[in-house]
Amino acid sequence: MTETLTTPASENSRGKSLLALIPGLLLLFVVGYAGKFIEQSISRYGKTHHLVLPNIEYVLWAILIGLLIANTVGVPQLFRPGVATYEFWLKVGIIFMGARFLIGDILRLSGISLILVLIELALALTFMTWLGRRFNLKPKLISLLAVGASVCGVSAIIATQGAIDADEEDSSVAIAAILLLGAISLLFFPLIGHALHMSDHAYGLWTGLAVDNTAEATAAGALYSDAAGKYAVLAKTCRNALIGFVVLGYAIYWASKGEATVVTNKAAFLWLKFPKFILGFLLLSVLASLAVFNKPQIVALGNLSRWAFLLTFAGVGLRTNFRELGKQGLRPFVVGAVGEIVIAGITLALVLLADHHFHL
Amino acid sequence: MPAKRQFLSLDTWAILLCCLLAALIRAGLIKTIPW
Repeated sequence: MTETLTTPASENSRGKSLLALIPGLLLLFVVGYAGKFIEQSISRYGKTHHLVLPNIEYVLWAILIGLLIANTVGVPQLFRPGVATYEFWLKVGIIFMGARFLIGDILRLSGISLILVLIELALALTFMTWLGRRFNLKPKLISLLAVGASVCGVSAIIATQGAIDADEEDSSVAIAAILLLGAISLLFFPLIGHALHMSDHAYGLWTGLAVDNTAEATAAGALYSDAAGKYAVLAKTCRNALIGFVVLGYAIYWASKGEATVVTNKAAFLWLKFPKFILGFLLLSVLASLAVFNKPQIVALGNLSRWAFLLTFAGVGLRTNFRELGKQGLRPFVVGAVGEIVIAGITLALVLLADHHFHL
Repeated sequence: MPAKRQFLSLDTWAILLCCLLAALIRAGLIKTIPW
């Protein structure tokens, strides 16, 4: 979560680069809204014909339409800058979601989430490192896969790549593995959740713990229910908040081997790697808890959050090209897949245990 | 070629946009499209 917008010196080219976003933004909206339209149409058809049809959330339709476009005709160059803004809309959606949480709830839920996150972190880092060594992957690729699977997906991998001076190739292999597995998890997580009759809270917590990339974790939660999406975001945000500590740990490890730059100011390093949008999420939650907004205003902020997520989910499908991801080789993908399945199983057991004891 | 200047991070832009829209909603100046 360390991307920066680089702005050219002249106002003219800044205006042009903003204009270049418009086609892709329109595509995100059209794909996302088509998903919403399909969901509403199916629901309306069921009601008028007195049929009980399964309620498939617009999230799945939007992602499927995006996947269909990306993997058949492809996304033309004209649309790519705007489509790439999906991560910005993800952050906007999460920040607005802060208004739907009282700060007391965040502290209480984060407490449980944080304990589970710390257990997940330790397990994922240890297991992925062990597995990567068994498959004779390159040591820095193992570090990138371990960070991607334990903390925060793509952002964590990019942050770690810079901190441990890893090859760009290793980084793109690790990112491809995490994204491919994230896309697959969108299919299986809701099915498992429904099969086990999990509550919204337990399911959301599980997806937040087990799905690695923030966009996919949010989508996997929202596929189950609106409430599950909220809990998934909260648990995933707890994981994201720890990104700096894990990256710092790896930076120190590789620097001790003389294969990365030594970190001199650790506090500045932690702040640099901290995903700042979490502060926006907390700010809106504090304002909502202080009753700065009335009920209709909270509803309006919730609407903005949902519209921003609609753009995000369309982007998740549009940027996933299976052929490109598959080019990165089988071994890292196998390590990622085995690791993810084991981590998903362990986190599921942890969440079910926590649900049994603490009634989540 | 002059060096490109690093402007605000994506996170900061997101926070600023959200604060602006929240302030406009709070002031009753804009309404949102119902979900």
